Amino acid sequence: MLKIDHLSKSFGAKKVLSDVNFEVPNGKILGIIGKNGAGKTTTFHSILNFITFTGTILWNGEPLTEKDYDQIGYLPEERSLIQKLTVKEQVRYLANLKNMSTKEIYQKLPVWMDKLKVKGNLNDKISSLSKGNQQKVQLICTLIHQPSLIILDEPFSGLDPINVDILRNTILEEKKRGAAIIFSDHDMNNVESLCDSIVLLKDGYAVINGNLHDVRSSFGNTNIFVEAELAISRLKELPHVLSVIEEKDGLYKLTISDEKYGPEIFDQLTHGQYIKVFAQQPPTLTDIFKKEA
Amino acid sequence: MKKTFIVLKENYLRQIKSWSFITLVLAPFAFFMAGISYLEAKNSSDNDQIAVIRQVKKAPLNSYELKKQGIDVTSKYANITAAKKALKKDKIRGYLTAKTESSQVKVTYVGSSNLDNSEKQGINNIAGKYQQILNIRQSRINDKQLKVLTRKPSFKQKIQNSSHASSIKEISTMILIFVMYFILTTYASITAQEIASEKGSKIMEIIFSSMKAIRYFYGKILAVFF
Repeated sequence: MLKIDHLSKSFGAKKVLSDVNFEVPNGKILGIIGKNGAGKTTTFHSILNFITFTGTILWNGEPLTEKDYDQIGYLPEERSLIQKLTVKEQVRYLANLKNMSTKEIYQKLPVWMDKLKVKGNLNDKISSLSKGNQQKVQLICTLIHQPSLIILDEPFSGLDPINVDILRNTILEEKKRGAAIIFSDHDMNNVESLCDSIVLLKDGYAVINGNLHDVRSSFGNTNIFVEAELAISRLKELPHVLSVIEEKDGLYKLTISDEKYGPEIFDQLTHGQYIKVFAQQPPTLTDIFKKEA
Repeated sequence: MKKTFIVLKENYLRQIKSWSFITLVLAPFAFFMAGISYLEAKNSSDNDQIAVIRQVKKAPLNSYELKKQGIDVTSKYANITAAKKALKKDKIRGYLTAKTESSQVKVTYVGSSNLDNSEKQGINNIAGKYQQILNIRQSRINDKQLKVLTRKPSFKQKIQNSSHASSIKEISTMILIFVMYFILTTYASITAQEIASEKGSKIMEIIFSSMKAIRYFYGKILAVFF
């Protein structure tokens, strides 16, 4: 389990992280979200010991040492591999550095190539692969040694929907294997579909921290989805409605000031009117992000 | 230590496939070959030679004495016409003719480039000796007077180290300077290239998630050095 206590970091006079706390148990996924410059990558760099910081970072109850590096799989924000090398050479180099034997690498590499559906051969130069396939090779470098702690900095950026699904399934498999996973992303749908808990960073402060379901519930069931033949102006006139968005033809999303007004709105809408859908739900992660980040 | 060795091995193997490394290995041979070819071409060609034309049997200049003075001469051209043709075709640098007129030695050089100082001095030495013989004959002096007139100052030269040893030393120094210069420029260029390519990528972040930066640095430097 990874446990972070009172993590703070400043670059000169600028405070980038302030008293950040969170933990990631084995077999769980934590999503770190926040606007650009909120401190997500700095948090990763602190865990990986790239930079000095104040506070404590414990891995299985002990500070991270060089020995623990072999258990870490890290995918940086910007994809980068050595373009001159072949796929085989590149994976061998980085996996050797994780103390994996060359024999084992060569046994596992074709399996991973197949699993991630990399278009290319083991002897192809990295420079000859497409951007998406390079990204997959980099993911293989991150995961082939079966790390216990996986850190993925915006792993979905630049991937098409099919590859997003492949990556999502791979992350879930790693979770099932028992790895503690931290990742950051700007697509809240990915975060919502994968994470057990989230940390929302704002100007270096963890403004939201906890189980995803609990976080959403804490905002109350302030979203109402209505599907009916109604004019948007009528919905806007309803009491306690803060905003109305037409999601698609005939489906509206209403944001209300408090969940307690749900029944009252339901009464008003159903009064002599047929309504196909009326669903009161907590806000989505996107709503929370827009409100809090 | 094991990871430092992996970095060293990987970078070394990558370097020996690079153009910089191939240049580093081949360049000394290329320079050596070019030098040899140049010297060979210089020695084998006639166009640096000066033709000596003997117009009379007892000419004041002859190729044997000129060669002894260190002048690159040839006597294969029998007359001025042949020498002129050779000069026109750039086969020789020039030609020398010498004759005696009214007891005076007259030497003429015709060429495509100037004689250097040592060549001029060499020719003057030989012509001077011949002129002295003519002068002595003309002045009709006896042996005793001649002995007095030809008395020379004494000049001795004492050299601690042999000239052979010092020239070896000089050549060794030159080779050493050249090798050092070559290694330094190539090393600097490979290092600069490596830094530029790695600075522009995030591969370092992945590597540093596996090992300490200082160990990586040692591996990298050693790989470039080897």
